[in-house]
Amino acid sequence: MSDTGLARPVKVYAGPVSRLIAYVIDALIVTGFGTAAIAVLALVGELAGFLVRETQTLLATTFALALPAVFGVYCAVFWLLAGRTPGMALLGLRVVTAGGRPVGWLAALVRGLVLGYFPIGAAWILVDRRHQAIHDKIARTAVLRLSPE
Amino acid sequence: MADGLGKWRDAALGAVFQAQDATVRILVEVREAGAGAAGRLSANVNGLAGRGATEREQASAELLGRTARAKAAFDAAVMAVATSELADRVVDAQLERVLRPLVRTILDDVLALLAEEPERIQPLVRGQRDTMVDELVGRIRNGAAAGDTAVDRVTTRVLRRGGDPVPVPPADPR
Repeated sequence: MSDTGLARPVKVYAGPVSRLIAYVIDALIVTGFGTAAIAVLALVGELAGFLVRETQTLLATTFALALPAVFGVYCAVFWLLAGRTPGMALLGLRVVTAGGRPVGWLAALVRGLVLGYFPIGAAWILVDRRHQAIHDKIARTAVLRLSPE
Repeated sequence: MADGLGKWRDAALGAVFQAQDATVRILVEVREAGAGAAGRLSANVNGLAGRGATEREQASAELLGRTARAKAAFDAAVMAVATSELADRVVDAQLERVLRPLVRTILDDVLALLAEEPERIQPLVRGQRDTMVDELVGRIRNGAAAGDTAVDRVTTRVLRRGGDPVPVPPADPR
């Protein structure tokens, strides 16, 4: 308790459910914007006279290869600027270094790309005492949650 | 037996005892007669009290029944009047004549006031919206935290690491 008598929030390591919900929200945001961008490109390609089948193949390949990178960059930019993505902000989560400092640009980029291309590594949260995933171990980061108790 | 004066003295003594016996007999008879009269009087009083109570209860029940019947009749009359076609017409006519123009006028005034001074209603709408959003976010966070706790409990049991201390998160760097 603080001097004012109000309950002071304490920080705890964020668990798998909070992080999974935040991840899904961010993935939906990126996928929605990515799909819209691809649809616009496909429309422009058709109007420009490209063959439809070639355009679709090209866009599908681009979508599959570039979307994880877009997701990683999206996460890295938000972690660098605000310490959290929109999904993490909704859940009250924050990314910090292992020492509790804000993440740097290199750690944020590495963390985002590893998360984007190797999301299954997040399953390590279940067995780690600090709920650190593989991308947390590589980038030396942790995710904290403000708990009201 | 004595002679002379002694004889008269014994006779007087016998007369005294004779008088005492007669007095006792008379008193006993009087007491028995009084007791019988008191018993009969008490029985009569009890009978009268019972009849009075019966009559009073009957009168009370009749009064309640009459009151209930009167209330039911009054309610039925009021319902008949309230649901009658004539009453509907009267009420509709009054609504058209008085209430609707009044409401329209007041509504126009309120809308004109809000159009002139929108800042009077904006804080209310904003506060309501913020409260709803805060409540929704709090509910999502609490649900996620409860899910985290449940998953932690399961993984702790499966991995058999109940004795290990929980690491402390890093503090805020100052």
